[in-house]
Amino acid sequence: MQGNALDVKGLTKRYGQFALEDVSFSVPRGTVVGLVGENGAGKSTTLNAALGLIHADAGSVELLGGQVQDGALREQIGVVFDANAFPNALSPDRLNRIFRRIYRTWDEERYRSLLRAMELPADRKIGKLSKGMKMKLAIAVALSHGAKLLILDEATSGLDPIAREEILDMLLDFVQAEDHAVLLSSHITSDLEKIADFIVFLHAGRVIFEKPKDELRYRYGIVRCGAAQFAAIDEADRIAWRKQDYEWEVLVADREVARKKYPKAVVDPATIDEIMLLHIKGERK
Amino acid sequence: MRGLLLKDFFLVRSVLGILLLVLLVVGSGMSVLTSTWVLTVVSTVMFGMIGVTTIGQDKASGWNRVAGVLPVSPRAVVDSKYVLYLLLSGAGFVLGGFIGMLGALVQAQADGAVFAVISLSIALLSGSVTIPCNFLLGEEKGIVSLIAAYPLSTAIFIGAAAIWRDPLTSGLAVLAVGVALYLTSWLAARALLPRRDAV
Repeated sequence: MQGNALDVKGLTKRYGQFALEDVSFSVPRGTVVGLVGENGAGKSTTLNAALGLIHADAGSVELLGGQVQDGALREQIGVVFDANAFPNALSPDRLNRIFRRIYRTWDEERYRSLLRAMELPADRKIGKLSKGMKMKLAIAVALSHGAKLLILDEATSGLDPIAREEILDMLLDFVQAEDHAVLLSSHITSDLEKIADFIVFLHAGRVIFEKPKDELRYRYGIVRCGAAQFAAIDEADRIAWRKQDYEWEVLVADREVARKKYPKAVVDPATIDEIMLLHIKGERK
Repeated sequence: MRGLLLKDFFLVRSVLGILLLVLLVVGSGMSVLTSTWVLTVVSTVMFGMIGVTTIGQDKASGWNRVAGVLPVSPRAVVDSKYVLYLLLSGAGFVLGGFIGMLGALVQAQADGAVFAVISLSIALLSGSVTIPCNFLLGEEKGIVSLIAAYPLSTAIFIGAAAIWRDPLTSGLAVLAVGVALYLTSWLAARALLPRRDAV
């Protein structure tokens, strides 16, 4: 399957003090894309604009080759919000009765099998489910109407490691089909390090970078050095840097090259957290 | 839209049971004190009001975000609330009318037709204000609009009664205004509300 499941181009939305500025990125089919950024970076705004829940001031969004306003296309998009969005008075059973009247592609058998697999009681009121169970329920709904694109907004935040692991496994299963894709926003970067193929980093409403995760994990590095060595590092090699109590930290795009070029410095692999921190807290070119 | 209506029905179902019980108790008491046809007005207004509260519940639960990504148009979401209001008000009207009729069988009552017209007029006038207000305003202000709309509708009715001496004629005139306002409100809401951000 060719093409991207999601193409966001030049998305702009202004709210008072906050502005989402010219946000562009893609979610290729068959991949998991992680949208990272600190709280207030614009992740939810980006997802809401991509889903048509808010009207963008500028830019375009193409989902599965069409526009989000297309009802038939919405059948193929599964969405999981950051908090439970189903009324507490309903139950998984009642949701089934509601959604089978809304989605033409609703697969009741699949839904019930997911409920069983996730050990979700079908007749219990949603208000009496735990946070992890509510999140699993939202994922069960998202996976029960033939979705090809899953969009999850902070779906793993606030969950214990076991629940998070289970959800990540479900997402990995989902994306095994080559025409499926996942866009997952999170500030828990360890989750994204486990499953994402690409990372889109948002900061203050702007995309700082969009890169393959493996490039960040296996090529990026942090040079730790003293002031003299820091001064000796080529400006072209520095992506971002900051001064700590006893050393300088410099983010470089190729740690092997940096090791050879600056043999006296310590060059460590960089985690996504460290890359984010250096971009946010440090100085940049 | 059937799915959206079913969701709202699940939300209001438990409240409807309590309301039914209240109406039966109040109806029994009123049958002794005054005309039971009054219950037609009370139940029509109360049932309709419950329908309007689902708009605030949708906002509070986050359902409005879910509705925004469902394969239904934003207009269908607006339509479902106007239809729900009509269905619930209609159910209240029928129920109140039934109780009124039972009361009329027991003892002679004032003219039921006047109360029927009053019920429908107040329901339509109020709905045309409270439904868009609950979409546009927050939950608290939405409730204020609920509280304000019914006395306002009653005032219009009293005003009309001052012009046309005959209560049935004035009721029919207000009913015509109510129908026109409700339709106008519905059409304006389905044209304007989808332009607003859903979150």
